[in-house]
Formats: sequence, C-alpha cells, structure tokens
Amino acid sequence: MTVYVFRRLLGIFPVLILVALGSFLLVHLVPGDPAMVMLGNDATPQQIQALKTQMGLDRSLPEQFALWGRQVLRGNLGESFFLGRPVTQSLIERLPATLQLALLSLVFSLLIGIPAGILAAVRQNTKWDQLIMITAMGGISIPSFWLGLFLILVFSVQLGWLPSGGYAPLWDDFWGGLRILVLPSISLGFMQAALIARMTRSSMLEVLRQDYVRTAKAKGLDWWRVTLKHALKNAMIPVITTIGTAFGVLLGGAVIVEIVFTYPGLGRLVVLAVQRRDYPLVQGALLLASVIYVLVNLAVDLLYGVFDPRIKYE
Amino acid sequence: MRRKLGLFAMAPAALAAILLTISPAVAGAPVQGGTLRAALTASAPTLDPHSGTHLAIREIGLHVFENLLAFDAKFQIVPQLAERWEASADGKVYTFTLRNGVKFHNGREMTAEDVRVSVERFRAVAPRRNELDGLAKLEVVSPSVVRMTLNKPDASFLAAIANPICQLAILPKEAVEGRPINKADIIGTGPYKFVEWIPDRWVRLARFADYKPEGKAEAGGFGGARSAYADEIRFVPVPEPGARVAGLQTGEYEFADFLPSASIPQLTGDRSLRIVRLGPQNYPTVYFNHTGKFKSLKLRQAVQAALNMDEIMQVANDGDGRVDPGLYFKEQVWHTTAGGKLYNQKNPAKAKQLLKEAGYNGEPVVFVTNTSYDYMYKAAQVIQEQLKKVGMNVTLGVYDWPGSLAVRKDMTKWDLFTSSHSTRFDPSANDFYFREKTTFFGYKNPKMEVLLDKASAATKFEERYKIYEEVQKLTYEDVALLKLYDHYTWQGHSAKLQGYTPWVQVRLWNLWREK
Repeated sequence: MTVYVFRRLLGIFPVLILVALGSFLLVHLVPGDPAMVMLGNDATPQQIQALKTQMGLDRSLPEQFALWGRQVLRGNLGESFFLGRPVTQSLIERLPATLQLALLSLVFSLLIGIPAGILAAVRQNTKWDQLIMITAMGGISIPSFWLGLFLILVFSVQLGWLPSGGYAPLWDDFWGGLRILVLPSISLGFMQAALIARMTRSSMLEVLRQDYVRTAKAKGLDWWRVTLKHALKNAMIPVITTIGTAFGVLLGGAVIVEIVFTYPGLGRLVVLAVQRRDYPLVQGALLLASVIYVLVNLAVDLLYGVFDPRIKYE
Repeated sequence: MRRKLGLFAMAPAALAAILLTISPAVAGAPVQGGTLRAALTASAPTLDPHSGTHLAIREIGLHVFENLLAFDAKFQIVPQLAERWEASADGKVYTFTLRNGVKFHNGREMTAEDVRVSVERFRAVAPRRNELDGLAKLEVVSPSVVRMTLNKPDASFLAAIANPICQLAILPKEAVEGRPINKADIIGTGPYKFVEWIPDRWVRLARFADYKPEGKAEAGGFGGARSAYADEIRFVPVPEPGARVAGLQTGEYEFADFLPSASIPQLTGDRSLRIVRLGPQNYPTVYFNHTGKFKSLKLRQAVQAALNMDEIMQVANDGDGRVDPGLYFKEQVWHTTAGGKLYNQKNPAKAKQLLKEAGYNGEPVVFVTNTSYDYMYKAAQVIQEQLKKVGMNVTLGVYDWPGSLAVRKDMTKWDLFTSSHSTRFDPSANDFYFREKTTFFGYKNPKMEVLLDKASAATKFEERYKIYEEVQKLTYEDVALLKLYDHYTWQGHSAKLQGYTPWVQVRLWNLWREK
C-alpha cells in the first residue's frame, strides 16, 4: 500500500505541470491587463506600459511562463500584484476559513444525505421515498446563492437568530464561529446532501436486491443489522466517490456562497484575483485546488479498501 | 492667494470641546468610543495612496492620509497639512508653510523633507503624475517650508495637490523613499491609523490619539477639522448588495454603501436605520472611437440626437438620478448648461436624417460594455435599442471591467464604450480626455487644444469658468463624448450613528455612536 500511495503521489507532478500550463494560458489569454486595473480608468498608455514593465508583463508569454515555472519549482508561487505579498502566504491564510466551511458543510450533507438516502431506499415507492426524492431534486436545482439569501432573510433579518455573514476562526471563538458557519454550511451542503441522498438511494436499492441480503433476512437477522451493516457497507463505494467529489468541490472554494455570506475563503479570493487579473494569485490558487483534488481522490481510493476488503493496493 | 487658519477659525471647535467636557450628557454631543463597521462594495486593490484611482483606495485612504491641501464641501481648496500657501505674482512659484507639530502615525513629526519625498514618489509612480508635469523645481526651504516652481503658470496646480482621487498624500520619508508602486508603508497623518488589512475580510483602523483636528469642522468635504470619535473603524468589503442590506438590517454593519434602489422602500420603513441619498455620485458616459466610423461628425450627431436620457436613467438606475447636461454637477461651482440644447434630444427623425447624410448603410457598430457595473450594462442595453430604432446596427460586446478596458486598448475592436465619471474636483481633471496626446478614444480637435491651453494659463476663477463653459459647448457641438445622466446612490446607517452627511463618498470622521 505504501508503494501504491507513493506512486499516486508521484502522479501528482504531471497533473500539476498540465494545470500550471493550462491555468497560465487561460489567465493570460482572457482579455484584461492588471496594470490597467491597478491604475484605473484615467491612466495614460505610457503609465500603463511603465507599470507593465515593472510587473514583468512586457516580456513574451513563454518567457513569463519560464520565469514563473522556475519560481514554482523552488516552492515560490510568486507575489500577488495587488495584495503585495507572497501568493503562498495569501492562500495559506484563506485555507483555514475554507477548510472549516467545507468540513461543516460536509458533515451537514452526510447527516442529512445518507439517512435520507437509506430511508428512501428501504421505503421505495412510498410517500417517504417521494418526499425525499422531490426534496433532493429541489436541492440539486435550487441555486446556492438563492438558498443563501433566503436563509439570511428568514434566520438573520426576520428572526435575528443567526448572523448574516462574516468570519471568525473556530479556534479563536468556537461558538461565535459556529453560529456564523451555520447558514453558509446549510446553503452549501444542501446540494451535496441531495446528491449524496440520491446516490445512497440508488446504490442501496441495488444492494438490497442481492441474494445475500435476502439470505440474511431469511436467516432472521434483524432489519437494522441487515440494512446498516450488510447492505449499507456494500452500497458505500459509489457514495464515497460522490462524497469525495463533493469535498473536493467544497474545498476548492465555494465562490457564490462565500460572496453571499461575505466569507473570506479561497473561492472569493480567486474571484477577486480573476476580476483584477492578478495572474500569480489565480495560477497559485488553481495549483492549490488541483493538489487538493488529487489528494482527496487518493483518500477516496484508499477508503474503498476499508469498505470492500477485496480491493487491494499494489 | 493666501489663506490662514487663525485663532478665530478654531474658536467653534474649542467651544464645542469645552461644552463637551462640561456636559457630555447633552443630547447630540459627540461621544467617543466603540467600533464602527462599514460595508463597502469593493475590496481595495491596494492601500498605497499613490497607487491608483480606485474608489476603495480613497474611501479608506482619506481616513488615514492627508494632503497639503483639501477640498471643502463647496469644492473650494482649503489648507490641510499646509497651514497656508502663497503664490508668486507670475503664478509660477508656490510656497507652502506646513502646520507645526503634525505627527505621523509612527510618532515622528512631519517635516518639509517628507513632503519633498512624497511628492517625488508621487511623480514617479502615481497614475495621476502627469498633473504635476509642470513642476520644474521642488525645494525644501526650511523644515516647515516647501517651495514648488512651475515651468509656466498652471491654474489647476493647487487642485492637483488637493485632489482626493489617487491622493498626493504626505507619508513619512522612510515609508515611501524609493518604493515602487503598491509598496509604501501605510503611515499617514490622518485621524485614523492603519492597524490591519486582511484582504477581503477587513481593513482595521484605530483612532490616532495624537491627531489634532484643525480648522473649521463646518468646512466639510475633505477639509476642515476632522475628529475621530470611534475607537476603531472596520471597512468590510461586501460585494453582494443583498448581503449589505441584510447586514445593515441585522446590525452587523453600522454603515453600508451603495444600497440597491429596490431595497430602499423596505429599508426606509425600518426605524432603527437612516437611509440617505448620495446624489450625484458619478455620471455614466459613452465614448466614441474617433479613429473608426465615428470619425464622421454626422454619425456622432445621429447618436446624440437619438438618445433619450430619461429612459436610460429609468432602466439603468430605477430613475434615481437627474437628467442634466453639465459635465460638472449642479452642486459644483463649475456647473454650466452650455451646449445643453444638444443634450437629451430624443429626436429619432433627426437621427435618421443625420444617418442618411452620413451615408450610413447598416455597418455593424460594436458597443463595448461591462457587467461589473450593472448600471453601465443596463444603460448600454437601452442605448442599443434606441439606436436600433433609428436604424443603427449595434452589437454589444460584453466583458467584465478589466476585459472591457483591455478591448478598449485596441482601437480596431470597438466603436462605442461605456464608463463613468466620478466627481471631478476641478475641470482640468477632464483635460486628458480632450487632448490628442493623452486621450484614449482618438479625439483630436485643435480648437479644443487651444481652449485647454488658455484654461491652463488662466488664473482667475471667472476666467477659467468662461473657458470651461466653452469647452463644454464644444464637447457637445463636436460630440466628443456623451454624458448620460447624474447617477445617484443610496447609503444607510444605524439610527444611533450621529453626524453623517452624505457627500461625494464614504466619510466616517466626525461621526459618533449615541450611547
């Protein structure tokens, strides 16, 4: 297994090279010029050119890429044009905020999604099943920004129970931070909960029809044991894939929800960086997002073995 | 020209201070303390005051930094860090005497050397540096006197010193000397000092205990006595309008800028809030690319004749604004209606006739706009429809703001472009649009250059006013660009906040929270 993990980790490098090249080309080919954004509408062409030279943007694209690539290989993602500080530092500062929001959203989506999926499967074609599936359909269809604004209107403005936005690190102020996180986590986790519920249901339905489940029932095992131990464990492989993807998405930065809730996470940083054409920051954030994705996928693959001991890693 | 801050000018402030000490419980008396959280629309791209013209830079910066001179509420120039200034008879030499005992936030006293270094740095990096092109010599005469000598008389020189847009802020020598753009240490002389900037989360400022309010508080604007009452100000960037509204209602922010018009009826019904109109804040503008098909005056006149500004204002800003031809707002001394007959003509028949005379045959017109500023995009959509009605084939090129600026650079890619003019404190701030050397839309008219040269050499207000009246008239006759309407915005604050006067932009000094 160690060899397998090592091999997978080595596999990150070609992915990162591709992502680095792709993100570099993407941000540089989109029309826009950080010097123009920084200097404002009234800057003269001469002033813009001078700043471009200072930023190193007057060089050719391959030259710029080579310079940046050399820096990245040394572990330096460059300096943000606008924030005036290292990209790595800016990303690390945002990571805890995104991490706590992603984790809480994931917990929320698991707590809702898995029981709802199981219930819909064991009560297939009943009112329960229909209710859960309609809600899940709603969860997938309702845009998270709409749900966010709706929750703010009800729970912040009307009832005054929870704050409408902001951020407090959980390790500084646990309860205060948690109160802030409730609404964004629900808006973010609702869609993932819906996806997880649908996947759990369909996977459970398939497993519940298997011979060994019928045998277990025939042997007189109680309902809970059959459903939660024998069936659920075997139904988890596709569900875990969904959870892994969901976590990757949540960690990559929940752009819209972060904007609605004024939450200073990675997603908002990336949007701001794109809006300002802060090339080093966009490129750094995309690299970080891809590392996170690869690592989450690796964790998901390793988890398969926990649920299905037949899977071996070589 | 000579102004002094005498003892008499300070008397009302001193009196107010005495009254405050005797009876702090008097209703309406300023109260010190507390944290003021203000929701702004945008994150500042940088806090270096010399770096850019972005609104968020000066919204925060004007609390931290000061210039030698400032504009008061009547848009007149008043002293700020300078105690007084003198101009030589030929209008070429300006001598500034600095206020005594002004301290930087790092505790050091400001001297003429700091002024010299700050001005030099501004001339090296600031986007607005061309406004000081005429500055030939900058001398430190004594620790409290600076002399600036110009190549030729320039009536707009003092306005350039006082301009709050991309402030010519005075920073300590050690914070700016040799620093490239965006790299200054955030140390000023203003009522609030910089504490912390977590991009996208907040900028925290704290009351500067050693700040001495100078001048008359009622001067208003950016000048006069500026008192810091709140212990701390937190500027929070909240780009989503709904979040600003909700945060204001729940009390998370005591102040919120740019409230959406649709929320105003609901917010004005809330007794815990005060909703104020900031009008006008800017005016949206359409620029012609004078190097392409709009080289034709008749074609530009056709667009001018076709537009209905009332309709544009209704859609772009829910009717919150004013249809007025002035390139300077009615509230400013520079306002004039010269050339106004050609504004807001709403005359499709005339437009069609002009199109015919111009020989226009349905060639595509590319109108570049952006979605970053909602009102510009909406205005562009209405204009597209209005021009279609008279027979113009207009297609919209929609980008985000940086994208539209980048497209604008390539003169082969656009015919019309939307942007907006923020409040201009002196008409010379618009000169660069009309000068062939600096314009971005290819405008060229020797008559205009002569007028601008004359304006620059004139020193008396009346004389300059008349010339800029001519400039505005020519702008309309030549259809150099098209002003659309005066754009109003809304701001809201907690009813407990006292002392707020809406003017030009967010200003949170002289503001306190009732206990």
